[in-house]
Amino acid sequence: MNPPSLDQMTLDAIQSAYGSVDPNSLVTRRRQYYSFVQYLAAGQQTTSFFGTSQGGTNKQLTNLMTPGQLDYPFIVKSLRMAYYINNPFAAAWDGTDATTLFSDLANGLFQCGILRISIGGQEKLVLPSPFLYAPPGAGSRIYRTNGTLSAVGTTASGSNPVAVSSVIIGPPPMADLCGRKERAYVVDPYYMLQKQQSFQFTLEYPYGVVPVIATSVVNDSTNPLYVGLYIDGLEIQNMQ
Amino acid sequence: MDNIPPQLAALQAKMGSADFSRWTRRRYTYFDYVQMPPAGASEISFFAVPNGAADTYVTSIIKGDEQTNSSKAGQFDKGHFLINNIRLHIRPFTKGRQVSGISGQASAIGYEYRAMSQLLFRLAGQGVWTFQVGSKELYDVPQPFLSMPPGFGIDIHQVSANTGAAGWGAWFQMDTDPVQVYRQDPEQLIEMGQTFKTKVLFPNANSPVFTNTVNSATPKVEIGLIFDGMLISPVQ
Repeated sequence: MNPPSLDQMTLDAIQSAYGSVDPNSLVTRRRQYYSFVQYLAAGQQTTSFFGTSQGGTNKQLTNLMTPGQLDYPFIVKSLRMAYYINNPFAAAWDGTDATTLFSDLANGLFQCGILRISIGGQEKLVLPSPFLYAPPGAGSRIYRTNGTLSAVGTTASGSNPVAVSSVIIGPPPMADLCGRKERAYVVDPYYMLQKQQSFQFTLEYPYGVVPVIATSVVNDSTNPLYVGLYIDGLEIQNMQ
Repeated sequence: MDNIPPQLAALQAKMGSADFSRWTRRRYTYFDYVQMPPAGASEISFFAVPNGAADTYVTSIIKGDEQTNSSKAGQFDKGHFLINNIRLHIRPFTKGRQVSGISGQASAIGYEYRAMSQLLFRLAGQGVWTFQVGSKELYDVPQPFLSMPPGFGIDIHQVSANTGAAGWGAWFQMDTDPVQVYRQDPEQLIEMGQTFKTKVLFPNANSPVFTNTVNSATPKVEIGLIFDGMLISPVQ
């Protein structure tokens, strides 16, 4: 190795006295990179995460500054699939599958599919039912109603207020992806992603597209559904 | 591992694509989903046919990447595999993938699935899981859907949709608690190329009959067997 030039020595001296970064010391800190991509109501066979930067969307949907590239070297410790929708409720609940997101959570796109992970061109993992196998693993939000008190009935003709017609609609069903941190998918050993390393995280439905069932909730224009992936781990930076 | 002739070893060292003197390991998941025989069955076999072949029980369905990631029948195809935990997963086909009598029904999930949910609950109490390596049976686990749940699922807050005179909704789900997952102790190593057979047997009574139970149509239900563990493979 060549001895450092005078310029380099000068820079090193100035940096050690006044610099904001110490290139000889590394620090790690917990960080999550996340990427949410719109899932069209008609369904889509493949959804690639981390292909769009924050500039192309907004910070709710990704914190990636450069498409397909991390800011710093990163150690992936766990994987978490998630979804985001501004309003998870339909304007009107009428007892049909189309008017509740429960349908998609219990028997739709969140139940099937695979998550395929490739790093440096090598397939690392194929995970079945990834929204279930690698759930958000975060805090839960609880939704319960007061049962039959919210039932809607049509009174029968006549004076008897108890009798109702044959149409009875109870409160809407509700579900969510699993919370609690012990459920996140822990990779072992951890994946190391270099700053400019190529990687692909894709949600796929090879058996065929899975259209959204809750079409009265999800609207591609006014209330889009986003599917997402968090990679949770340690970011490695120079000491500042 | 097989003994490698010295000539092959020399070629491999010079021109091979893998270095068999150095091995890596990583968490990996082998899975195989088969169609639940709708008319009931005395046993269900897993990993019996590879990716690309027709499903064992509903031959109109070709197994793809969502059904299995095993390219060889009865083998772990990518290296040695250290089984850490084993999960069974009952997964009804999504509504859109069901037959038209179900996929086109407006309240299939909230209302029409109630009879199927009862049958799945019944199924989950039945069976014995067996695992045979070569000709030796290594394991038999009773009531495997209870003993070996997936440890994942969704958080259901309430089910209540109903739209009929005597309507009520129901939804079945297996245990979602990862603590309940069946952990193999000690972990079981299955070597690359080693063949195995694995089944859920129903020796006391056949599995439930699902024919015409959802809006007079027959639902498609997948049963998955998942091996979660460490894939041990040569450095490439």
